[in-house]
Amino acid sequence: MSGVYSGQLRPDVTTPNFSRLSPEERLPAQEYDAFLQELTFNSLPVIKNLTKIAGENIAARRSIVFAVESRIGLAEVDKKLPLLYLVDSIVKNIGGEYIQAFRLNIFKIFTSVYDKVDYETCARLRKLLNTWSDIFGQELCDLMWRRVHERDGRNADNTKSSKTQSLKIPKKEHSSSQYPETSKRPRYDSGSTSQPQNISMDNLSTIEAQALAQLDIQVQRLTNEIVSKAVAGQAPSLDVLQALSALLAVKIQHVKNPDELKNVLDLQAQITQNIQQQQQQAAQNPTGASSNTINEAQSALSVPQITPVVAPTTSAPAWQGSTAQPPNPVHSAKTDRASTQVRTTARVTRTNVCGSFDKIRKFPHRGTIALLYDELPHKSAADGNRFAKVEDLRAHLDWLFEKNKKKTSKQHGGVSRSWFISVAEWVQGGSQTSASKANTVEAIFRDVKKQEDKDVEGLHIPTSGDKVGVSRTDGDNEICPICGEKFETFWDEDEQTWKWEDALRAADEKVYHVFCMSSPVPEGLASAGPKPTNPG
Amino acid sequence: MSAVRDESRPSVAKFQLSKESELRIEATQGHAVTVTLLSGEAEILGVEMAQNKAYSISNRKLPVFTWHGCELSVSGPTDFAYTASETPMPVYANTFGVIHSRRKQAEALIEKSRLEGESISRDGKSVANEQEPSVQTTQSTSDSKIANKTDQATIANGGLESEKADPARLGPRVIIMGPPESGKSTLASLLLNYSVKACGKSLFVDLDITRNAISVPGSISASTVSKVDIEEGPLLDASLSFFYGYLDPNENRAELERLLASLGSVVAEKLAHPDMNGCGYIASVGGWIESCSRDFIGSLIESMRADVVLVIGAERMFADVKQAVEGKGNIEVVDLPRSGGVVRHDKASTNKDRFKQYFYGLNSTLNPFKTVLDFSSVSLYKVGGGAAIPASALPIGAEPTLDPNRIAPIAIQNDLIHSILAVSQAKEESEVSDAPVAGYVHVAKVDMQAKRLTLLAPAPGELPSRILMAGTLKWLE
Repeated sequence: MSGVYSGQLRPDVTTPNFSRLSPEERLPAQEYDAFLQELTFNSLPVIKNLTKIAGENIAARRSIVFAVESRIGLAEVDKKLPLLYLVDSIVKNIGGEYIQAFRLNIFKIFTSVYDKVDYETCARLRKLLNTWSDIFGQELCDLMWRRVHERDGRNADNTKSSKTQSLKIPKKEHSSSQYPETSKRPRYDSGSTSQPQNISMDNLSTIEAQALAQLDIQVQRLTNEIVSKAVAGQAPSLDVLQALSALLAVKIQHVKNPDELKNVLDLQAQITQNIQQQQQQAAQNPTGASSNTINEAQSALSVPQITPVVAPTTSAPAWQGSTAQPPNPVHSAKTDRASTQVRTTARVTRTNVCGSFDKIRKFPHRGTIALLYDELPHKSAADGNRFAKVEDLRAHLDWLFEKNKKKTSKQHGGVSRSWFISVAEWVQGGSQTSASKANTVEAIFRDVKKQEDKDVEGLHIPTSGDKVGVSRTDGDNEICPICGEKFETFWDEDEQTWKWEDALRAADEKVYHVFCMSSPVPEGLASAGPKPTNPG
Repeated sequence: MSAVRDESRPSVAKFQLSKESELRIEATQGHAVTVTLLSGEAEILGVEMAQNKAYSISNRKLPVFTWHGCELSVSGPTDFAYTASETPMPVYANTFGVIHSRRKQAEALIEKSRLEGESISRDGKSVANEQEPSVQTTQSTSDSKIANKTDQATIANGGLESEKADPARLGPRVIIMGPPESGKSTLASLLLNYSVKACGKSLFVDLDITRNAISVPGSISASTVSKVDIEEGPLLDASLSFFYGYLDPNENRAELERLLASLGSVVAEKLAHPDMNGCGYIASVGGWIESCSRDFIGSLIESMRADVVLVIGAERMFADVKQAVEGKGNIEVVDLPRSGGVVRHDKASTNKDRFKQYFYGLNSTLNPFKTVLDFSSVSLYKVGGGAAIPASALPIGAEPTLDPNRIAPIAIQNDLIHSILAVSQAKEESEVSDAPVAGYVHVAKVDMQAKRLTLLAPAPGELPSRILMAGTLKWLE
């Protein structure tokens, strides 16, 4: 991979371009970079060590940060995550000036890594990002989240066939001149092929780049909104169009690439035309049209350049139901005409769902099939499930990932069917799945714990995922005082921290094995207690 | 129907399916067979397949259907694999379409009352009356009937406030009926899976006491479903199960009716919960319904508060059901064509499989645990203690003294070995016949000398209750 953060590098270069640093900064950077080569997997000692070195050399932070950032750009895809864990460790354990230093490029680094890595790593990165809002600030994290959502959306788009594109709106307005070919084709689901290197850090100051990235996000968001409206068969609201127009006006001033400029101008013209049509229509038909879209648009407009939107007069609920309250036919016909440029075939099928059992043998079923396919455009490539919204798809992929993880983890002896819940719990929406996740070993712990309440009373055994453990801190005893054996360490995905496995912290602040703490196992348990049986 | 029949094909076969056709495959017993979608779009019982993923269909017969056309590859030995273009799928799709429209109406009703800030429980009646016109304007005649059903449902229920308000708010409540091997469970899966796809969730009610897909045979149960897997079937979020204890509905009809009433009222309560958002339920009965009286069918429909009954491929049953619901409010009875590719069940082996699946999961993914208990630490009951004494066997004018629903404590005997027992959620004896169960255990050993019972339980630890119920169910592991 090319050095994303040091533009002069060619793709085959494997060492950071230290010449970008001043001579005095160069040596520490090179030294730290040598250390970094050791970090090829998520290893606690190495990360600890590197964090310590960084902490002892705060004066050389510019060199260190440069080395880490360059290394992340250069590392092979599967070696990027440990480096980000190092960044995480440094900003969380040392903080202060390092937060400031990493903050400058963290958006770029995080999102470009996120764009490249596989699904599993994406899930880890999201968990990591979840813990960053206190460190890098909510605003910056929100920006990163948006990019994360976009990428997830692109992945989803990847899998779907080109069925709904009659729309001539470019998915992305690149502000970079580096990759003109990706922005040449105006189309709406081609974003998946565009590379993340759309902001050249060398040509623009970081702030400007961030502002432009945000602008792009806003454009994208409004475009998406128009597209989703079109898919649902509605015309884009005037306010959304105006907002988009305003954003593009800002953008035109910053775009230098002629091809891209032409694209933006085309889009701008198209939107202006649409706005005029809408205004004409509004004059003919003064009743508040799609009031709910205006509300959405208002919440979408956080960019200051945009003129404030006039609030709608009515606030009728959004009738998503297919038949519950059909829109005024005269009105909808007009809307259609106004949005000829922004509409898709889905409109035709939307309302054609059979409504009565008397007609099921003759009624055309195309509408119902569209309901199950065309209106759920985001298909999961992993298991074929479809969703209306990208967020739903992402939630599903997360769920699927957890499910597969559970399935493959044979450690600790698998899972058991749980007992059914009570009527009251069932009616209130209690879930068995949360209970059945409970590992059998944890269940045994619970039982043992019950028997041994006197000894272990008041002790908290934190559980997470498949493993039981307690966060490790410096100065912990590494050997269990009871059995004399060393603790195993594991990485807790949920809490993003290292933990002692099967351990708990007693009142004396010492760490013990859960088993040791609750032993000896009482006599009665051996006969009356649970014993795993082999399937068969 | 073009047949590509081939005995035990060992290699990979490719099939090109045109629009709206179906590939019917049966795996040769004991062999691994996989189906892969190469291009296009295809679904198995309404669950869409991912491309280039091999789905294992070992020991099963499955229809792979495509709405848009697709290319499939099948590897492994199959007893048969052929494509069919004549399927009832378009009718089934429209059936789903109607159910979906009803859901959207229910959703709209809920949304409307939520916006108006009306209290459902305080003045339920007026809510129903107000909403009636809005339903009528949007739907043809059949829908106004739903609103009129209000009174009927309230009588059957005897006091569910939420239900008094408006049963249309609960969403469509669909029961699928039909003679044995008519494709009831296939249609139930299809409708359930489409529902989950379009609405994100559904409620599945399994009233089949012979082959219960949610818990074990001999029970009736319900479960919410929000995820579906082609190989694993619907993934049950949370289940509720009532223990009947027999595989024949006529063995203790009064008890079965009583359980149906209990299940029906809990399900109605569940549907009224805001989370369900008018999604209704999909229920399926077993082929045994054919042997049941019209009265029983009527009371089953009424207990479950169904408003739609789908009858597959049986004109006589359709007529019967129509008569059974006469005067029971407005219940729509719909006759549906049956599919040519119906899956046949091997009754004995399916039952065995179901028990095994309960304890060990599909493909032995779950770990059950053995627990040893003293006789004295459990109370064992049998509901009704068998069939009621026929009136003809009694002296003229005498009433039978043995209530078929009476709870009878029974002693633990050697013959209890291999029985399936229900672990009741009841706190005391009086609740036993109405309470749902916490789960099932299998009697692995009865030690009369030591007075100890070895039970196979699904989960480790103590049993959630010491009240056990026995029926006539046996399972030889």
